[in-house]
Amino acid sequence: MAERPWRVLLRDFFGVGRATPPAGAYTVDRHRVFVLPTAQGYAFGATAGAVLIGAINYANSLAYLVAFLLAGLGLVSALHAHRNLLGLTLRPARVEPVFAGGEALFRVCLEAPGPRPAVTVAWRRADAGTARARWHEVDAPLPGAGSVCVELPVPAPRRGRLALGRLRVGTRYPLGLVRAWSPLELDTGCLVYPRPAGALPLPAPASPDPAPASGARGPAEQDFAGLRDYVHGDSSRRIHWKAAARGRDLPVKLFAGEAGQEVALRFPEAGAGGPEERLSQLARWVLEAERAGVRYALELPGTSLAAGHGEGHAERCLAALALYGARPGTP
Amino acid sequence: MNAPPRVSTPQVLWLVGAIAMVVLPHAGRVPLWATALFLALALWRLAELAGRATPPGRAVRLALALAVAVGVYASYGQVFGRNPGVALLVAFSGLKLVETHSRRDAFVGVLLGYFLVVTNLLYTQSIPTGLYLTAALTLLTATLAALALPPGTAWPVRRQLGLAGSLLLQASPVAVALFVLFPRLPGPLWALPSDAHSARSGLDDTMSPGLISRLGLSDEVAFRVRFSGAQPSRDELYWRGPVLWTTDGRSWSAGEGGQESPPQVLAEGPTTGYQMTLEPHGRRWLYALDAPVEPPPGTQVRGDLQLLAAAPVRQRMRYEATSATRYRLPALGERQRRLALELPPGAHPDAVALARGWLAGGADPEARVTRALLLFREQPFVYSLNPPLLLGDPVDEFLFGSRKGFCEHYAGAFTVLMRAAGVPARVVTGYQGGEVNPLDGYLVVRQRDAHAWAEVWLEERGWVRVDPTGAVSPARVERGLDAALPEAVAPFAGLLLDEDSGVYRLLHGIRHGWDAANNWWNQWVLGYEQRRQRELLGRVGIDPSDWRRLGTALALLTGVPLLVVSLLLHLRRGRRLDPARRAYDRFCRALARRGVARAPAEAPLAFARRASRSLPAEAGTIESVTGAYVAVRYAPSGGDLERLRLLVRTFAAASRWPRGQSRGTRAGGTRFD
Repeated sequence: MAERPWRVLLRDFFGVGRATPPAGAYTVDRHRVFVLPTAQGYAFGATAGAVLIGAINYANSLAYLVAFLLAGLGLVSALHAHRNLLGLTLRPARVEPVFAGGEALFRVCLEAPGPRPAVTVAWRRADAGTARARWHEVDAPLPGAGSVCVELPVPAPRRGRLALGRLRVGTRYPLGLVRAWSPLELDTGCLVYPRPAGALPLPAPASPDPAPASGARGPAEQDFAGLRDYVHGDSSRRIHWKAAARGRDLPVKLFAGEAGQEVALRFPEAGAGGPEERLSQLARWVLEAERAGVRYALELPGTSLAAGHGEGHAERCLAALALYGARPGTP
Repeated sequence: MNAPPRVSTPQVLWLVGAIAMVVLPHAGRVPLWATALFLALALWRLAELAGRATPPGRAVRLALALAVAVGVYASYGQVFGRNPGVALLVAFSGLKLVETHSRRDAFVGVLLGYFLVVTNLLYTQSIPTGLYLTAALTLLTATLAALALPPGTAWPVRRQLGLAGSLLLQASPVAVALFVLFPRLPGPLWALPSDAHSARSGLDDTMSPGLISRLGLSDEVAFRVRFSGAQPSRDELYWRGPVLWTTDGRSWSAGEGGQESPPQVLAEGPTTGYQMTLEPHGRRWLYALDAPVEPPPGTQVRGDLQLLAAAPVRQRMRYEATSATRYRLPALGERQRRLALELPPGAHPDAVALARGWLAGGADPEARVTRALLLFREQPFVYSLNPPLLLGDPVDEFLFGSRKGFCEHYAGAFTVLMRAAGVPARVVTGYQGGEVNPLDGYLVVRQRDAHAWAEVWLEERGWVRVDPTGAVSPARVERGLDAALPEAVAPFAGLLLDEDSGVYRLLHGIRHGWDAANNWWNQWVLGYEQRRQRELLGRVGIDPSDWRRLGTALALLTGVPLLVVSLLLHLRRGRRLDPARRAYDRFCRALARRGVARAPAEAPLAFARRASRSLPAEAGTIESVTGAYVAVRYAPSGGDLERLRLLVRTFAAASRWPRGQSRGTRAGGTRFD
C-alpha cells in the first residue's frame, strides 16, 4: 500500500488503482459511506440555532461567531466521521458451528491502516423472546493501526446454514454529532446442527457381533460396562442416579457392546416423527456414539458417510445432518 | 440503545471543568448565593466521584430547583431578563452537574455550557473575553469528544484538547465565511429585556465639582475618530457634549437653553470631515467636533449645537459628520440671552461683587473676559485632579480660598463671573484633545480627556469658546492631561515616569498596539453590522440583497475550506502507519515488483501462501518476514520490530535487481536503500 499523496487522491477520489475486495472481505470506500446527524447532532444544531437567534436579537457579533463556529464544528465532524471509516477492512473469521436453539458467535475482524477510534459494528439479531430482529451494536475501536476482532452473537433457532446478514460498520467519532456508516454483507455463515433430541437408544451394533438380533434388547438388558460424563441429549433413563448421589456429576451408564463396535445410524430407523425430529435423533446418536467410543456410520437419503470415529468424523456427520435437504453447492 | 451508557470519571471531570470555566466570569455578575450554590453542587459532584457523597435524590433536586427560582425572584424581582436569566442558568448548571449520571445528561450539560459561553458575551465582547471564551469552547468541545469515545476508553488530556483544538481550527474558516456573508438584520427580533444593557461610564448631563475629575483616572475609550482630511491642531479638538445653561449655585444642568431651533453656523475656515466610533454610554447625546456643520443623518441638532440621537446609545455607534473649528454663530434669541445671564439669587456673593466691579469699571465685554482669565493666570490657581472638598459656596470658596480645582471648577466659576459681569455665558462639557494611535491613525479619546469649558456671547463675534483651564494650565490644552498632571498618568499603575524615558515609551508603544488591536476588533468584528457588511461586500462586488450571488459566495467560501480540510484529512491518512506496517508495506511493494501484488484486503498469512506458491524460491524469506510481521502486530509479547526491518531491508534490496546481475552491484544497492 504505497501511501503517496497523489496516489491516495487518485484512488480515493477517482477510483484509479482501486482493487475490488476479495471475496469475504470488505474495504470501506467513499462511495459506500453514508453520513447523517445523530439525535445529539440535531440537539447540537438546535443549540446553534438558538445562539444565532440570540445573536440577531442582541446584535452581538461574537455570538454570531459562536453560532457559526458551532455550525462549522458540525460540518467538520461530518468530514472526520467519514474519513474515520475509509480504508477500514472487515474480514470474517471462522465461526464455530452450533446446535439449533443455541447462539451462533460470528467473529468479524477489522483492520485499518491508521488509527480509527470509536468504530462500531452493528448487526441484526432477534432478542430473546421476540421474533423481530433488531439492530445491535458493538464497539470495535482501533486506537492505533492494527486489527481488532468483535463477536456478534446471533440466535440459531433452526438447523442449516445461518447467514450473518447485513452489517453496518459505523462511527460517531469525533463528537458524536454525526454518524457515518457503511452497509455491507460478508460472505460468512455458521453451520447450525440439528438440536440433539429424541429418546431412542443407540442402535445395536451391526455385523461384527453376531449374537442377538439388533434392537431386540434394550440397553437396560445389556451388560454394564462403565460410566461416562453426561452429554447433551443423553436420555435421563441412562443416568446412573446412585453414582450421581455419591457426588459424581451426572454419570451416564455405558453398556458392553457399545465400545469397539460399529453402529449404523440410519435415517429411517430414527423414530417415527417428521424429518426434523429424525435428524435431531440422529444428531443425538452421533454425540452418544462419539462419547461411547463406538465407530458409527451415517446413512441419510442421498448421502452416506462411512463408519468412523473422532472429532472430525462427528463434525462431518453433524454437518451432513445440518445441511440435509439443503440445495447442493453449499458446503 | 437500551439504558443510556453511564458517564465515566474522566468524562465527569471534563464536564465539571468546562462548565466551571464558563460560569467563572459570571461570578461577579450574579448574586453571591448563586455562585456559592454552583460551587457547592460542583464540589458535591466531585465528592461523589471520590466516593465520599451520594447523589442528591429527586426530591432534593426538585426542592433546590424551586429554591433557585424563588431566590432569583427575590434577588431581582423577576425571573426574565438578562441578569435573572444568567443567575438561573448558573444555578441550574450546578444542578445539572449533580444529576449527570448518563452520557445523555452530560451531553445536555455541554449544550448548556455552549449557551453559557454566549451569555458571557452579553456582558463583554473584549479581546481578552474572546480569548478566554475560545479556551472555554475548546474545553467544551473536548468534553463532547470525550463523551463520544467508546465506553471504557479515555484519552490523555493533551490528546483530547488537541483534537478539540484542531476541530475548532478546521471549523473556523467556515465560521469566518458565514460571519462575513450571513445577512445581518438590523434591530432586535423582539423587545430586549430592560436590563439588556448595563450602566456605562461617561459624562453626565449635569456638572458639579468632582464629577469630571472622577473620570480623570479612567482610561476607558470614549470614542475614536478618523479624520477624512487633515487633523485639526490639538488645541482645536474640543468635542462638544452636553451644553449646560442652568445652575443652582453648586451644579450645572442643561435646563431649557437648548430648546431652540439650530442656529446657522458660519464657517470661517476649512471644515473637517470625520467618522466617529462612539462607545455606548447609555445617553442620547452624540459627540461632535466643536460646531457641527453637517450633522450625521438621523440626529437632531439642538439650539446649542448639541447632537441628539433618536435613542440612547446602547451599542457602539459609528457616524460621520463635518464640523467647523473656526466659525461664527450669529444669532442669540431673547430667551437664550436671559437664560445665559441667569444666576441663582443670593449665590456666590463675593464672585458676583468682583464681577460687578468689572462691569461698573466700564470695560467692554471682551475686556471683562480678559479680566477673568487674568485673574486665573495671575492669582496662585492650581490645576489639580484632587481639589479640596468645598463645603461652603463652591464658587466663592474656590475663587478666593482653595484656588485648586479641575476643569469643572474653572469652567463653572468663569461662567458665573461672566454672567455676573453681564456677559451671556454657558458651560460646555465634552472632551478635549485625544491621542493619535500611530499604528492605525485613529484619534483615541478617553474618559480622562473629559473636559469642561465655557462659551461667551460677544456681540460682534457671536458665541466664542473660552477655556479658563487653559489660562491656568496651558499644557492641558496643548498636550493633554498626562502632561498637565503627571500624577494622572494612570495606565502605568501610578508610576511617575519621565515622558522621555525608555520605559515610558515602551509602555506607550504597548498601549498603542493594544489599542489599535482593540480598535480593529471593534471596527471589524464587533462593529460588523448591516452597513459595514454592505460596504465590505460592495467592495468585492456582491450586493447583499442579491441572494443568488450571496448564496454562491457563501457556498464557495464555506465549501472551499471544507474541501481543504477533507483533502488534508485524506493525505494524513497514510502518514500514521506504524513502523511495522511500513516495513511490511515495503515488503509487499518488493513482492509486487516481482509480480505478486497483495490485494488491499488480503490477510498477511493468506498472501504469504499465495506468494510462496508463485515464488517458490523465496518461500523461506516470505515466511520469515510474514511471521515476524504477524508477531510484531498481533503477538502479545510484541515480536521483534528490528528483525522485521532487517529482513525487509535485505529482501527489498535483493528484489530491486533482476536475478543474474552481479553480486557486487546488488551489495552496493543496499547501501542506498
